[in-house]
Amino acid sequence: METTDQEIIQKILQGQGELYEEIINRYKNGVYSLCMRMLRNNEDARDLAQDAFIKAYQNLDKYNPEYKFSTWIFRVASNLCVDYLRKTKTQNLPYDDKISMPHDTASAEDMYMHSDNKKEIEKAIQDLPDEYRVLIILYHKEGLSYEEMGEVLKLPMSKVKNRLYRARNRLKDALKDIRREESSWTAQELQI
Amino acid sequence: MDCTRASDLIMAYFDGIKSDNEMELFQHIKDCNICAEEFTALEEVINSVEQLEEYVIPDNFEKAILDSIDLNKFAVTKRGIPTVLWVMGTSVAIAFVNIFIYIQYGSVDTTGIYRYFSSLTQFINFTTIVNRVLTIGLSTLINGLHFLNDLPMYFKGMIGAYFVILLLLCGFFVGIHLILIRLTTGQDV
Repeated sequence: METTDQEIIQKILQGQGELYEEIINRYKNGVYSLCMRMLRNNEDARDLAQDAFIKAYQNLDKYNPEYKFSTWIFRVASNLCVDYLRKTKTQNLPYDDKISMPHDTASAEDMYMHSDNKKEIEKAIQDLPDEYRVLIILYHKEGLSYEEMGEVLKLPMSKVKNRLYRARNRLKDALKDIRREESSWTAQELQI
Repeated sequence: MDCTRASDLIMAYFDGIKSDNEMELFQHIKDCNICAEEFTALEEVINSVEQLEEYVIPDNFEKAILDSIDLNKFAVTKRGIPTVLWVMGTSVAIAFVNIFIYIQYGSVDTTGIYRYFSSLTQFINFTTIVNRVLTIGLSTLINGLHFLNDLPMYFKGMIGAYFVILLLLCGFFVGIHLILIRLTTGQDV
């Protein structure tokens, strides 16, 4: 039977610090993925993801075992990402410039890229405001519940729910706009 | 069912919440093109998000973290006598010292206060000033002790610092007690 996070943390707090590596291995994918989708930059995402684990370790004695550790580490990571974005005043940059550059020749490779649903959804997520983006990632990608997201973001559950609904609608509309833009661009290029 | 209600139920459906109105919702979606389009678009978006690939973790991700933290931060150190016993022991010792002083020299003679102060008001004003000085002094002391890192192990942590303050405070008041007895009764203590 796998040791629970709380059991491992209890042992760390009793002096077995080397067990923190197990905690890192359990959550590194989710935390890095969240940072990457928020920041869209490999180096920044890696640095912030590592900072999240370091900060969590430094404050491990303040961790409340009544809550899931995943909720806690995601809270640390999302706060770091939001603070970083505020400081750098990073606006939603285009995920892939090629998609927004209608002057490029319509090569077969471009056509494949433009019809690639994964790129479109990534761009649509990227175009969301930060507070909506984090909700979409935490709920639909990392599988957190409303209650857990409320703990992560320090928001009441009703607010989390409303924001998530708005985020979904914006994502749906953003994807529609991206596809409409691509269709008109593709049609233009094909006429050349 | 109207479209507003359908819209709420569509969201609840994608939350994985089972509803008694689900059949009614799907019937509405069959009949309403707008809601059908909304449902299909949301389904596609949410499925796409859920199927997004995980990113590849950079090499040495864990190593960089483990190198940055002190794995012995929470290591249990050898404890001396628990601080709370020091506090209790000091309080008991101070109490015995004061009882000894009382038995040996008696207590403060309050009438003797008027040898040095023309009125009770003057005495009260004097004690008020002393209290203020004492408060400022203790605040400075507490702030100074906060930065002490290498206290002996039986003065561990802030509880140990408070113990030091308590000891000084008790010693201060015992000293005041003796001085007041000397001043008011004239005894050589």
